[in-house]
Amino acid sequence: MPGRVGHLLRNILRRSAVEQALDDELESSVELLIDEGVRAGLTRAEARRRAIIELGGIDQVKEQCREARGGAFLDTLARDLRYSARVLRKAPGFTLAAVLTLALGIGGATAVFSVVNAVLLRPLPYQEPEKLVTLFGVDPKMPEMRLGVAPGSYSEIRRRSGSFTTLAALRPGRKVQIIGAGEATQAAGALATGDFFRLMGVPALLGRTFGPADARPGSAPVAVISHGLWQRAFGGDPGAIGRTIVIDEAAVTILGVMPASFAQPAKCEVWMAFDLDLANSGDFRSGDLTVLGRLSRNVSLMQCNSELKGLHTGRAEGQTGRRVTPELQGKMLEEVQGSHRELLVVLQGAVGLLLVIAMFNVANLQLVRLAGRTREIAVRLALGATRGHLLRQFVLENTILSVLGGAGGVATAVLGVRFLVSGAVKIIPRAAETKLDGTVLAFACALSVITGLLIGLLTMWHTNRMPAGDLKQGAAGLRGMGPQSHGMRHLLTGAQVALSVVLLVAAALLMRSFFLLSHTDLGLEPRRALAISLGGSSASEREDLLQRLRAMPGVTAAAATDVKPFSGMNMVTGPIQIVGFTRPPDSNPFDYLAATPRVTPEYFSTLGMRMISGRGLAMGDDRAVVVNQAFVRRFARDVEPLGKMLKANKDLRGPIVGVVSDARAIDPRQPAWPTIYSAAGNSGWTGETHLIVRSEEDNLQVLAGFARATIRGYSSRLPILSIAPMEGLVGDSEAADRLNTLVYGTFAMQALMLCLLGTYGVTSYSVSLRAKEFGVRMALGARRREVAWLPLRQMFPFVAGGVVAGLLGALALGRFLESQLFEVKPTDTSTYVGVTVLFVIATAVACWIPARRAARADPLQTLRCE
Amino acid sequence: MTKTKTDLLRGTLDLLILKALSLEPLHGVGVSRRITQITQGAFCVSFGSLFPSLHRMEEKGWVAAEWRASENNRRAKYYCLTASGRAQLKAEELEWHQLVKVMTAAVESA
Repeated sequence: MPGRVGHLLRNILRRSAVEQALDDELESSVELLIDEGVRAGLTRAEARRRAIIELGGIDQVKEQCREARGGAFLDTLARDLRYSARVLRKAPGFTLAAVLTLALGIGGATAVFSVVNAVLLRPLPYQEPEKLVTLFGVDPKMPEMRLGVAPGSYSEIRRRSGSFTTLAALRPGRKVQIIGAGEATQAAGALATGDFFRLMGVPALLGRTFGPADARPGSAPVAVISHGLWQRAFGGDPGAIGRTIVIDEAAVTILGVMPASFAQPAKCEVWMAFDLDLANSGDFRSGDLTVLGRLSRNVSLMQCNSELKGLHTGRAEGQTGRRVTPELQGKMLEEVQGSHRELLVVLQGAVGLLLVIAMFNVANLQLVRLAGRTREIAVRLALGATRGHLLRQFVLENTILSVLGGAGGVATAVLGVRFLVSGAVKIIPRAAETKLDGTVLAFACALSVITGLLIGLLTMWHTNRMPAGDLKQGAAGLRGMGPQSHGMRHLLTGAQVALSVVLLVAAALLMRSFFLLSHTDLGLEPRRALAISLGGSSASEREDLLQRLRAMPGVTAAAATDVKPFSGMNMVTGPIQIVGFTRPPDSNPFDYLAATPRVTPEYFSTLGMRMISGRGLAMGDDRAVVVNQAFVRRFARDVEPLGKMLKANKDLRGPIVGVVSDARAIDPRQPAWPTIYSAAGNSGWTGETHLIVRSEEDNLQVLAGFARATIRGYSSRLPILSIAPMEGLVGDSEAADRLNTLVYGTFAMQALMLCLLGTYGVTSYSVSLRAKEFGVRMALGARRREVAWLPLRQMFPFVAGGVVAGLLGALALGRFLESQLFEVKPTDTSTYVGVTVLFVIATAVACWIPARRAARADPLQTLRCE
Repeated sequence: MTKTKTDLLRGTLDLLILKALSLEPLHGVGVSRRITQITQGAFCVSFGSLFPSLHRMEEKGWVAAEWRASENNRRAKYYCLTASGRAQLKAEELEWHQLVKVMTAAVESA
């Protein structure tokens, strides 16, 4: 109804005009009444008096008109806001404390949310990403592992499946050498079938992507490069398009550059077109393809998977009946890429807990303040306010607090995000895209308002049931606190304690885990060692380089290997054949594999590993191998390994000449794999080379510079991928744990502080309200110490209850943390006990200090003051 | 259907105001007099209830107001029924008859 809206707007925007109209109308009414009176024979003065009486008090009438007016609630709202602001201004200490507390809670939650938003909530930067699926092989004996797809399976799916509009295959994980772009550089590359870019639906930033025509056999070799590679190797020069570069000794034309957000497969920098020719389509064994598909409209993932199952079953039976190829299954790409989902979700939960603690804190403080405001409330009720009105105004007060807190929180979040992202980006590359955008701000706003509402409702919940008698008592000056008030406060305190205990236990477990992790015996010495990663090199190049590096000042040893230290990745092989060893019949073959790094003879001494028996590798060793203790434990338990012939694969067969100590060179979290070390010598090792250089110095900066110069001086062709202290590599592999520990530790400390501050504040205030009672008790003969312990004794059952609830909660939620812990069980008793003790002591102190102060006061003074 | 006392009064007041205005436009004082008249002295509406109701009805569009000269050439705000006001009057009359029927039957039952 336009009329009503029009009136509403007029009432709000042209208030003075409306008021004036009201005045005029009432004035004219008085005049009319006077006229009536005069007509009836009264004098003008008498008529005027009667008229005013009949009208009934101009101000009252005006007030009633105002209330009936459309938009009156806005007036009330404005008035309530002004009132709340005044109330808060009069209690600056409380207001500041509450706003800071809420800023902490809301800020933390917002910071974590912004990372969660960037990594988990935003859709992947591809066209209709919700339709993209990745197919992989599944071995029913190991459902966790995702295996690659064989070319034969891929061709078959392409031919026979109806679930996809487009299918493409990738052969990722290739390290390619690129020359002709300034310095020789190495890049991570992948082969992709012709439909790949069409499948992803992302156009090139510059130039174009390749299509099926480019992938046909016989067509010119083409490649598309990533934004990162474009910047790194071509300096962002648009002339890079169309340039020919040498990739792995083949001349390839660059067709285009992809936008920075395109990262499929992860960290890939070069995509080269290839065609899975028909010759391969019979190959069902070598499962090394990553297959991506776009689901047809109206086909769900479930339908797709059941179709895949059907397709596969048919084929396995047709052949020898024995399944040689793993079954295929699909998973939504979005799900697969959101790895670390668990870490982030748990983190968001933890920070949510912190916010709830902050909320309870403020609610508790408000409750205590409320007890001191009974006089104010009684007066307002007496003046005619309704309970509903009081409730509304109180909720508004809290909303103001939390909105202010939210504003402060956003400021805090800006800092918090920077801190979080710097730690997280090492594990979750997508975290780099975190920013405080509209979604995040909307989240912060909503959170602030909800928090305020909840606090208001929490505190007022019990007041509604407070009989009017209590309030009148308050007005008369007897400032006690009704039993209901105690109940809610204690409940809140208990709940705060419980939540804080949960956070503390989580933090303590993580800290313990991190401590254990950083103090594990790695079996090698990462300090004072430099790790240099190079692109491919030949045996002679390696030898020459090592000699030169050994000649550098301060260097005591240098060696080379083909596996990057602490990268978490391993090359394994199997089955292992050695005299005296047979694999138990029903065992999992994957449990009986061995790692097969290739090393130069000085490797063991450079890393600080010990020879247990036999000898190390020597220059002329062609076939001889050295195994580690883990290998002996797994494969040669009852046999003397030295001298035995070992056969692992077609390249690795020879006598075992030595046993070396275990070293966790791959992943500090895992015990060492059974390992077979073979000589770097002649077997074609042209892949990555990793040099380890041991120095006497602690400061490796200078050495790193020297090393770089030495390598450059030797050959400008060898691409240097990285030079870093080995300790740094260990640190990187621990990045997730460090992040967790730091973040949870911070939360837990904040939670503890909030709890203690809350307890202190509440006790302090309640003690001051009860000063009179204390005075009386002491006057009646109670000792100071008894009186001082009084508040603690009353709080104790609730704090104890909270601690127990918290411990139980931690036990229940512990399993979420399990994957993040290293050698610490989520039910680790000593941690629980430690946290409990800490909490009890801290709370006792927080309660005792204010009580002691009150007990110190002279009872006569207190009684007189009242 | 439990209405509080004020609700019931406001409901009947609205009906009385509409009825009062159904013959001719009146100013606030005039409406009060007319109501007293048509209820034969039973209801005497206070201005504290009358004016808010009149303003409310003006916002709802049932009455329209304009400043005019009264009989004694005083400036006064006159209210008159609009078309939707007349419709509202009819509707409320119907409702009132219905209410009376129901209440009578209830009161007179055993």
